[in-house]
Amino acid sequence: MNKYWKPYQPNEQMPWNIPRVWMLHRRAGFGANWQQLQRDVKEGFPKTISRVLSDETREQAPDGSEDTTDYLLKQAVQSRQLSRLSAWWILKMYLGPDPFAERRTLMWHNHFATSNRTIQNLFRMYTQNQIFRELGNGKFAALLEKTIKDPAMLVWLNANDNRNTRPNENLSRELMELFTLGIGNYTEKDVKEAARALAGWTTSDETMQQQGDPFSDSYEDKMKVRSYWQDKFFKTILGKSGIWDGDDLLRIVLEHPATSKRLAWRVCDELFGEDVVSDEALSELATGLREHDLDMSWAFETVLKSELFFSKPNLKSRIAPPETYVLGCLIALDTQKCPASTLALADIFTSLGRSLFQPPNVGGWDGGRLWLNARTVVARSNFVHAVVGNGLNRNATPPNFDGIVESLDDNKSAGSVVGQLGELLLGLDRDSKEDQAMIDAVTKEVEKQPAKSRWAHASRLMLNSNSAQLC
Amino acid sequence: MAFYKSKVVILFLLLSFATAFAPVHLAAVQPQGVEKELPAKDVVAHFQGTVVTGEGPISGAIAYVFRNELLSESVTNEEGNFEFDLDSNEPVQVLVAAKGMISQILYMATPKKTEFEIRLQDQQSQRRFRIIDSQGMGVADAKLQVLNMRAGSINIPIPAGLGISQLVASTDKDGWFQFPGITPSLVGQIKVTGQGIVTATLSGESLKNSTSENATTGKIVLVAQPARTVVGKVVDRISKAPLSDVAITQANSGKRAVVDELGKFELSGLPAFRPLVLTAFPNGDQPYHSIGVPVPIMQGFDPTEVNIEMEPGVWVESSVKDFATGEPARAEVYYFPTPKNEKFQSFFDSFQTRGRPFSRTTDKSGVARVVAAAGPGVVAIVAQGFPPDESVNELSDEQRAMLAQIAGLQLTAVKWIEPKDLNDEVKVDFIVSKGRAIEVEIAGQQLGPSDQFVVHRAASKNSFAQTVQGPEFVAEQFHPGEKRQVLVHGPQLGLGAVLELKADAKSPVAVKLDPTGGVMGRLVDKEGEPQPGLSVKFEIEADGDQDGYQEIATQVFTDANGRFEKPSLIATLDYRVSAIRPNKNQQKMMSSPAVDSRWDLAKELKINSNEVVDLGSIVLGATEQPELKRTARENFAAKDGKSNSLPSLISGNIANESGEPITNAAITFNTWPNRSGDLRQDMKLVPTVLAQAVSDSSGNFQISIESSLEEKLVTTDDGGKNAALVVVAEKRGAIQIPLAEIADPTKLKLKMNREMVIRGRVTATEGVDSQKISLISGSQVSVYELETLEKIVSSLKEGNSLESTKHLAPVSTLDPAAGGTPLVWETSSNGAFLVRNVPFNAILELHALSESGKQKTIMVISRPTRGFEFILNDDSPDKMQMQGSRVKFEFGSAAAEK
Repeated sequence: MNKYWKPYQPNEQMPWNIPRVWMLHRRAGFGANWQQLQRDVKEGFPKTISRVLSDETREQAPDGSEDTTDYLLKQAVQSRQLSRLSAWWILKMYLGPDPFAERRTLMWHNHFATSNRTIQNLFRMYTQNQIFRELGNGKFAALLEKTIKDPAMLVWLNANDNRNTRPNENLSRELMELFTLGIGNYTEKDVKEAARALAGWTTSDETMQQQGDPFSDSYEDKMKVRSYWQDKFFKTILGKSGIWDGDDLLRIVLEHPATSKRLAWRVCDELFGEDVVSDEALSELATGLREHDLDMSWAFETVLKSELFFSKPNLKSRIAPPETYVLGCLIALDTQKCPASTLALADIFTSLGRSLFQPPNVGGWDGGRLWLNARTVVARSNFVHAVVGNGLNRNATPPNFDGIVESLDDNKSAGSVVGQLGELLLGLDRDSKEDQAMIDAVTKEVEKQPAKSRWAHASRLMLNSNSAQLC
Repeated sequence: MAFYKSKVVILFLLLSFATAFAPVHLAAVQPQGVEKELPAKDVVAHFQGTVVTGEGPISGAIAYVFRNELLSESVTNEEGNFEFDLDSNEPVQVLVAAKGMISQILYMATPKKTEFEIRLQDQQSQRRFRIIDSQGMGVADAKLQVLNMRAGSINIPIPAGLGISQLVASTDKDGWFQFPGITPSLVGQIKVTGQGIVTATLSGESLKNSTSENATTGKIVLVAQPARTVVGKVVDRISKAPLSDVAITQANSGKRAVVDELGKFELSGLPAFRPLVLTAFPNGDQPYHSIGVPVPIMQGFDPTEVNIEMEPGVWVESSVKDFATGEPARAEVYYFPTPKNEKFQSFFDSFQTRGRPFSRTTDKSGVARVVAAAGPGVVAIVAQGFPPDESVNELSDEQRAMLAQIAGLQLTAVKWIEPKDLNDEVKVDFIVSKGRAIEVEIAGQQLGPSDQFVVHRAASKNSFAQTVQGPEFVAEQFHPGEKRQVLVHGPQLGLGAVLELKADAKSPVAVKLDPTGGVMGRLVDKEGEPQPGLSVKFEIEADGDQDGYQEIATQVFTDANGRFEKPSLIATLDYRVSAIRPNKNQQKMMSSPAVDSRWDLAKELKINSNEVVDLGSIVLGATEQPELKRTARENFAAKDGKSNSLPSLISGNIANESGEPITNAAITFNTWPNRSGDLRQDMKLVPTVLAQAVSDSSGNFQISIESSLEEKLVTTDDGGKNAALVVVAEKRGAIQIPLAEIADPTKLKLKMNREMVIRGRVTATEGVDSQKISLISGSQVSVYELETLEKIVSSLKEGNSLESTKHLAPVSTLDPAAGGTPLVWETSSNGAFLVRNVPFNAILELHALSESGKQKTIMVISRPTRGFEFILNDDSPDKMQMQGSRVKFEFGSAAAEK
């Protein structure tokens, strides 16, 4: 077990320093401000990682903020505007109490990619999202069952068309290909037999569930098992024979070793980046997952505490996904007190390729370098311009650059300020020659600027750099 | 201090019956201090209320008593007392308001107690409410104004005794607010305005108690939506000189601004993240065309700049007068350039942007000025209550189509103008007429007031038959010079007449009825079998300039022996007699009965008084399509010289690839009047569905086309150029057959293969160099359907390369206009593409072309299975991956791509 996933012990080659704290925050959450970076470097790795894992990265939210978020949610669902539901989720990522939980939720949204384009029902999208949030850090069996049996997934993969007389294979196929086993670990026959096992799992009447307040206790929108559509005959799935129904199918795919491998891949895909971790390391993580009964919290903890995660090649090595780029920048610029409009951010997420609740297809977002193309690079640059210029809030209040600079440890020379801004905004390593060269170049540029706009200009330059596209 | 004596106004005793359905406003209530003398009426009880606060009774408090309406208003005296009387024991509500206190409402279910106390609380204990933004942050300095108050379902005025004319509040720095002197449950509607937020109206309902209320923090009542500002400048398009006094409005938000002397304007409080349309109206004496300007969505909150160039034009002064009275008439006046005018396109675009054309309303003297472009154009008016005049009726199809397409207006009159240049002046006069009415007396000694007559064309030339009781009626809407054939028919009396009426006939006109005639006959098929249950129709040619036929007598049906007999047809007319076999499988959704077969039994059949024409035994031949003589039809044919006529019935069968019937396919007959020919654009258009049907269990369908659709297609669709039959079947996509290509409308054999969707992705294989980020932007993917697999395999066995395989057809069945060129799907920002409407089990060749010109070709078989068969193109050096119906193109490294 410890061949690839040795625990990280800070040492001279891999010191516990700002670049590592910065990376941890951006990947396991969305970003950190200067105070959080300083606090975590000072308090050390063990305390920091336990804070992340126990969901205490951020200061305790003030009283009543939960009510506020709930109110925003209800209003968003009532308005039937997807951008408002996206704004609600972005708010939780941006200012909510638990960024790691939101990161996991986003990971599962990608894993079980479901789009409102088909569902056309914000309450169902929200319900599925909440399943990811509540069960995403526990046993995968519970998450899988709840997600598959939730109306959003049943509608998304045409469960209502799946009947004993004419099976529809969409749900069984994606269950095997995307949610559990992964391609190559099952046969076409398995898919067909699995579809028969799932027949009869449907949603309640579509016209009924559009009426009434979905948040009231009397509202019910659940899976409905129609026994007359079920297939009560003998089936063979993945080599196991019996009169299987949907629950048996879930048990069979969960028992299959390929499922643990796919989950190991999914966790590494989210935390390391696309196709970075070797197959051997994935297999080792998969074995551990099986030993832990597919407990996702074990996998997250193992990865986030590993030497592999904090190794040098994993620093600044992946394209920052849109949410990391946007929220990382806003959080680093300490905009929490006068936050950017989350409706504007929902717009910006979309223009950067991350349209929440509307993944491009069942496979979710491919990510990686595909995040960058001619359109999104321009959109990233426009975003930086807007944030530095007017904070993207309705009062057009830009970030408090002077306040940020004042809080830095050493703000006497321009070089030192730019250096620390580089650490804050880009996770730069000032011991590295390349990074120092960038700091010097920016310093030279900002010294030409009037004092008033100097730090805004430095931030703009750095946030538009190639280095800012990485995390 | 003034001494108040409470006065109870018991006006309600008098008014409660008279005004049971009309709410009484305060103005109607007697002024305080004046006793109204009332007629004696039973007073059930006299009531006395006492209003107290923490410091004891309060004087000067105002008490309103309501039931379904305001019953009384009174003011408390120094002891805090007020009084009122009631005439019944039904529940009432008492609202009490006092300065500095929270208003209270008391619901008295059965007012038995004659004395009661109302305790008012100090405003200090008022509840708090909050306005937040989408980030959950309080919105500071928002202004709130109560627009009205409500007690139950009654609107009540804001208590005047409080010393404030309107109830206003503003939020503190954290978005909190409270209303002084008013119980939240009494608030009707609240207007919320503020810097950077869109003005909203808040319902008092949201201030009511709720379980979600947080005792320490109060309650959130509104999520304010962020606003944005649009700034800009208005100039003359030609001289670029700034214009002043131009009104800029945004319709949905009601925001309005007038440009300053430099032509500049600023509109704030517009909703952010929504596309908007501004309209610019020149005020005063400036001959500029009003214009609709789209405002794009912008990221962030920087003011959006929109510069507007206004087109100078020519004033056209239109005066509208009523022919009968000579008085000015109220009308909406429109101007449109004709398609020949060079300004036509920009006008058209502006209408499209705004959604409707600009117009001016005539003033008291019946005059309105509109701005016209130089060159040919039309001034059109819409005057309510005035029928279309000759100028509208005389419009050519093309002209009518143009006006209908642009404006969709029911025009009253049009005038053609052609200003030479911008210095020209144009004046047009419209005389509109409701027309003259002529009284008609039906002569005849035996006729009494209970006799019924059917009169055709009484209201106008085109009007329906109407039944009149008694021997007189009025023929209306005669234009000067109009001649009209009015038909008078007494079916039960066996009398009828054709009355030639002229507009200047001296009213009343007498008409004498003559005895009617009749027709009889027998219908048999070729074998001589009688044809029962067929309907027989009687029509005459429509009047004057109208086209087609008009049915003027009720139809009859053939009996078991195939016989029919129709008595009582107006004599001296030329009839067309036709037989129709109604469709057995009539679809309920259809607006008119489906027609299976139709035969003309007689044309120009003259009927004489007291004579029954026997048509004898008529042999009905093979199904014959109706032959309607209509100019609209001729227009169809004239469009391209081909027979492009509109069939009355389209029927056929839909089957799948194995010849099995497809049931429940939706068949619609549509037109897209604004079709551009560009598929991408057209897909966004909503077609006008003219008729529809669903295929039955044998895959058969019948769709009946009303003959009146011909008119519609001529006027709205350039003679049916864009009309097409569209068939949509589940999982089989859609097919479209343009009207012109329907050769045999009753024998359509449609084959709909299973539709597949191919998803895929165009990618580069290598990771990215962190210092040099190279990009791939949209690649293009096109799809061809190839020869069958067997042919390809045998061709390959013979040693031929795939290159030599012939392309059958591009997969572009949705677009009849695409012809031989393949449709191109552009990959989205993440490289993904999705090709719809791919035939099932077809052999396809997918071509990908990256922006840098790199090409790649792969072949797939469109099946919904994984473990998919595919053949690589040998000439392609790059590797490729296929996953089921998902396809992945991979180009070389990003660097190579660049």
